[in-house]
Amino acid sequence: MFRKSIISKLFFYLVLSALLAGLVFFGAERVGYSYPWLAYALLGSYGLVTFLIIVFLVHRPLSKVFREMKALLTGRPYKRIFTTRIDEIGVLAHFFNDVTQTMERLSTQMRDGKRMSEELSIGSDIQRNILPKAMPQIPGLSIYGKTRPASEVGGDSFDIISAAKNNTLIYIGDVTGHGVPAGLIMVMVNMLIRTLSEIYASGYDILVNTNRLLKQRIEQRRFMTSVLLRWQQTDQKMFFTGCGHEHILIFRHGQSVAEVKQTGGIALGMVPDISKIIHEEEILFESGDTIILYSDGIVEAKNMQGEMYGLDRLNAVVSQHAGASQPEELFTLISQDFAVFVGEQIQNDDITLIVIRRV
Amino acid sequence: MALLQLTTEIDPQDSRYAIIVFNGELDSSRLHDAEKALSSFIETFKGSHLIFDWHELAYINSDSIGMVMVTHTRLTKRGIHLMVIGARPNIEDISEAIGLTKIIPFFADKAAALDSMTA
Repeated sequence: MFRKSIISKLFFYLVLSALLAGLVFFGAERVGYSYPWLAYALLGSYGLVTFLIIVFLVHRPLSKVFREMKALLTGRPYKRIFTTRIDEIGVLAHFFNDVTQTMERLSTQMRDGKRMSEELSIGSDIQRNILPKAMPQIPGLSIYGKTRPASEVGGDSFDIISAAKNNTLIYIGDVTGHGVPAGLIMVMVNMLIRTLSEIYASGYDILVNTNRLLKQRIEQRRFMTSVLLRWQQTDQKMFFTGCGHEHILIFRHGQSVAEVKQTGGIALGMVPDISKIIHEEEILFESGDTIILYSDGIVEAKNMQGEMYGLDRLNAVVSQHAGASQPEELFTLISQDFAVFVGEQIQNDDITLIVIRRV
Repeated sequence: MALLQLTTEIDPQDSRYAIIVFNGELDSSRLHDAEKALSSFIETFKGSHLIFDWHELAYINSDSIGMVMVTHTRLTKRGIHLMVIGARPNIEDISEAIGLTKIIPFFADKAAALDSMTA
């Protein structure tokens, strides 16, 4: 009981010292000593003991707590207060220790969060630098494309590469999921395709070897759907190789509805060898025709009512405008239609759209 | 938000196979729970064929297809065949587009899947 309250403790010590002083005084009187100085000495001793009790029991521990609190509040270094007391001063000291410990933990978390945020920002910059900054001038083609990740780092990718033997490669890729793991695979695939395009001429060889190298380096649940277009400038022919990606939309000049073409094949990273599953195929691509490549983030985007944007809606916009629009214009029209549809809905997946028109 | 329910059907007359029925939508938000439930079932499964019944599966995203691939690989290592039955057109389309149907056989119904086991 006395350990839990300073008042009880003080009361206990003061009563105890008063009793001792009383005992000494009356004891002395009984044996015949009755001098006034004894009473003064005992009274003085009692006062001294009281003073020392207050100093050591209350003032000094309280000053120590207040000193550390003042240090904390003025931003100076402070120390933890070690105490075994459980009275009011002990509670105050434990409270101080808990508060400072929580503050230190929060501060560490904030520092970690800031560091992670900076690292994500660097990752985002690296990824942005990999993507084409401006649309290249390709003889025979007019191209416009963009990607918008759902978070700082995305799993969607596209590139336009001037490759060997007068070929231009245009590819779009979509890694399962989004965020950092998807972003790392996206960077890996981007580098592999760029490197392999210097060795191989066909989309088939590039993707078969990309898959071979990728499969050894990614976990089982990860894969990347992709479609790679190869524009042969010399013969003015377009080829495509599909790896489990979304359909290709082809709007042929003079027609009213865009053709929906399955890309076929199998996503990169699903099986070690895709050489017998994928193939390169020619697409009839004449002057005024338009090809649309997109990622599932567009067609699977939902509006506030939970409806998906869908391939039919995308096809309708493409079919309505592709005949009279240049790639950038068509891109903007699709983007506007998409934005109106999804409204305030949060973007859950990376989105990529590429429009290619045969000049 | 539509829920996902996984239920197991075991034929007391035929211990070669078990059916896991998917009911609802399989997307990233439900993937972890679905994977956990599947894993605990697979660990104790002693048959030779596991059938995913997707008649009542309304949606699957690409992350979840990754999980199906992982399950397929785990089962294959133990000599167990994975089959899918009753996939709706939208599910079959995405599975076909990604190439899942080239790895895991898809059947219209249970009878067709069981026929393939005896073939």
